[in-house]
Amino acid sequence: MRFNPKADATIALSLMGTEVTFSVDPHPDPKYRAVKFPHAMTGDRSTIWHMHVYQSDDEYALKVPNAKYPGRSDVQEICTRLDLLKLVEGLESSDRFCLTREAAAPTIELYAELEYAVLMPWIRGTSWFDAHQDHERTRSLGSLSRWQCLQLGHRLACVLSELESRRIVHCGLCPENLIVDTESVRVEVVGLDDIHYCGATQNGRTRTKLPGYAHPAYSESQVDGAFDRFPGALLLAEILAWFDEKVRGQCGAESYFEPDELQVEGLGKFHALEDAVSQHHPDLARLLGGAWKSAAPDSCPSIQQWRETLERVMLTKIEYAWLRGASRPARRNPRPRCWNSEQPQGHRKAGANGEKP
Amino acid sequence: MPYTVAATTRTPALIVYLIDISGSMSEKFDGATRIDHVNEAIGNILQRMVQRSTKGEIVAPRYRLGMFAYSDAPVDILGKIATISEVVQKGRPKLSPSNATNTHDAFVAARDLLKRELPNLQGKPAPMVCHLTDGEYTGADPQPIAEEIMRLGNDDGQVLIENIYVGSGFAKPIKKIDAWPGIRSEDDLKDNYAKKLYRMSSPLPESYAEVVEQEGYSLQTGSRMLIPCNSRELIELAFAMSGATPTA
Repeated sequence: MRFNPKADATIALSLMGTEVTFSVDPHPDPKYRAVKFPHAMTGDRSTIWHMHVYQSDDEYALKVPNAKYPGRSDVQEICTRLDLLKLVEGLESSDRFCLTREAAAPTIELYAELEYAVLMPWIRGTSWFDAHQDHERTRSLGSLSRWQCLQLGHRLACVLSELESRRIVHCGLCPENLIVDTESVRVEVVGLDDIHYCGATQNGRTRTKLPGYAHPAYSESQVDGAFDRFPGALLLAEILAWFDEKVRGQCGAESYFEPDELQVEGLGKFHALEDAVSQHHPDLARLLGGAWKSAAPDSCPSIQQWRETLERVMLTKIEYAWLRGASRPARRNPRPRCWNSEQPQGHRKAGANGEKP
Repeated sequence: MPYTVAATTRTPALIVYLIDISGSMSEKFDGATRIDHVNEAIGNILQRMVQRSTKGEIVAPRYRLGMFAYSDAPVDILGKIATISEVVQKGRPKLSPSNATNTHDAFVAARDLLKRELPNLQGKPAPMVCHLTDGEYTGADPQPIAEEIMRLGNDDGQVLIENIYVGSGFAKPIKKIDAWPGIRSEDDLKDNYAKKLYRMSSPLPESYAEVVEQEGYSLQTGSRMLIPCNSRELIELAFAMSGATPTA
């Protein structure tokens, strides 16, 4: 049976012998909800379905690899690799359950496409891609204060520097892979499938097509520890500068810079970004300038330099006490997940209620 | 390389649908009328485009659609080139069968629209015309107009034409749709109109073949963008091809 559920359809997934019923979320835009379009996102490798455990608020993302995606069999290894990161603040989507024949046989019997699908927590917040698309509609982001931007930039720097310190590169830093929650001052980095452990031999296909974010001098064979520095610098600068209406107004629809604008000397859009960043502190603008003028990714300032500079800038602000408390990156206890909690909500025996798509 | 510009907000893909709504579209096959299958397939491809344009909650305007229904004369059912959001807001088009099959005039309408649009499509994906019909045309021969359209183009490539032929135009039945490589020669087709549509169809670009493959099909680069449809699944495949402009 083809896996193509409509909005509100219920689906029973067998997870290590326990059947959990999920409901497919409708598209959040009422226009599409009215025609029963589900909330789903299709990329060149997979479709992500937004679901929640039936009759509960527990939200999940089900990532279903495209039918002929050649890396299907690497998915389980990627999940194992990511398991090491699930306690890192900002990498919540590394907590995954892979639907294999061993772990979810009845589900795969029903939907062969779900073999190597991955269940992971749904990350609440606004995708940075949406902020680019329409900052009127993503109101909470359109009215960020300078201080909030500084906090969010710091959060992103913390996540990325944590990866950098472990010699891990994300390889896919772009707006669609950042989720920003202004209420909890959280930045989550998603799209973790291409994460690359430097020096390790690993299966999996690294995607490094990042239009508007990849360093112009980057070459295919060159995924090294510095790969994230350039896209990381641009995204950090965007978040830090988002309080500035001029920056928001000049932002391209899917990337701040078009690919052919990167590192162009005297580019007005770059100077607008640089000016806004320097309002926090000139040292931050210098880091951005260093990345912009760099000859190669490894000559960009490291993410650790961004983090240290941001912490120094924040410590000079009146919110010193707040930073020392709430904002310090902390290890967290993972939330219980439906695949390992003892009494998951929505649990039911096979064949009970629930329509199948 | 041609046909590599991705459909993005800044470079949206333009797809023009020409849908035959002649009386024979009310004939039944595979459990429903032909027009019902088409309505369902249009709904599915719109959903697919929405999914390809969503990276959070907002649907990015990565596709622009034109839609003509034709019998005696083409009717612009959207009234303009519309974004998916506008198409959905208007209500998915519900097509119902009518009289003749003036395919020539439908292609003329598509050609005129493309001539107006092409000056603004530099740097954007080459546009596509997706024509669906279930039988021979009445009136003038559409082939010269289709050939004229295929000579138009932009810096990404010449305009692509896909033909979806609802009927039994195959020389041999397709056993496994997901393993089918597509039509590579006129000899694969048995009726003369299907052969004419073959000549009115573009070769499938590599980048499109890759996207169609992600949907689970095996159409080969260079096979013709012609799908003779005698089942719901083939109509589904045919519309999947119409939305196969690569995305970022």
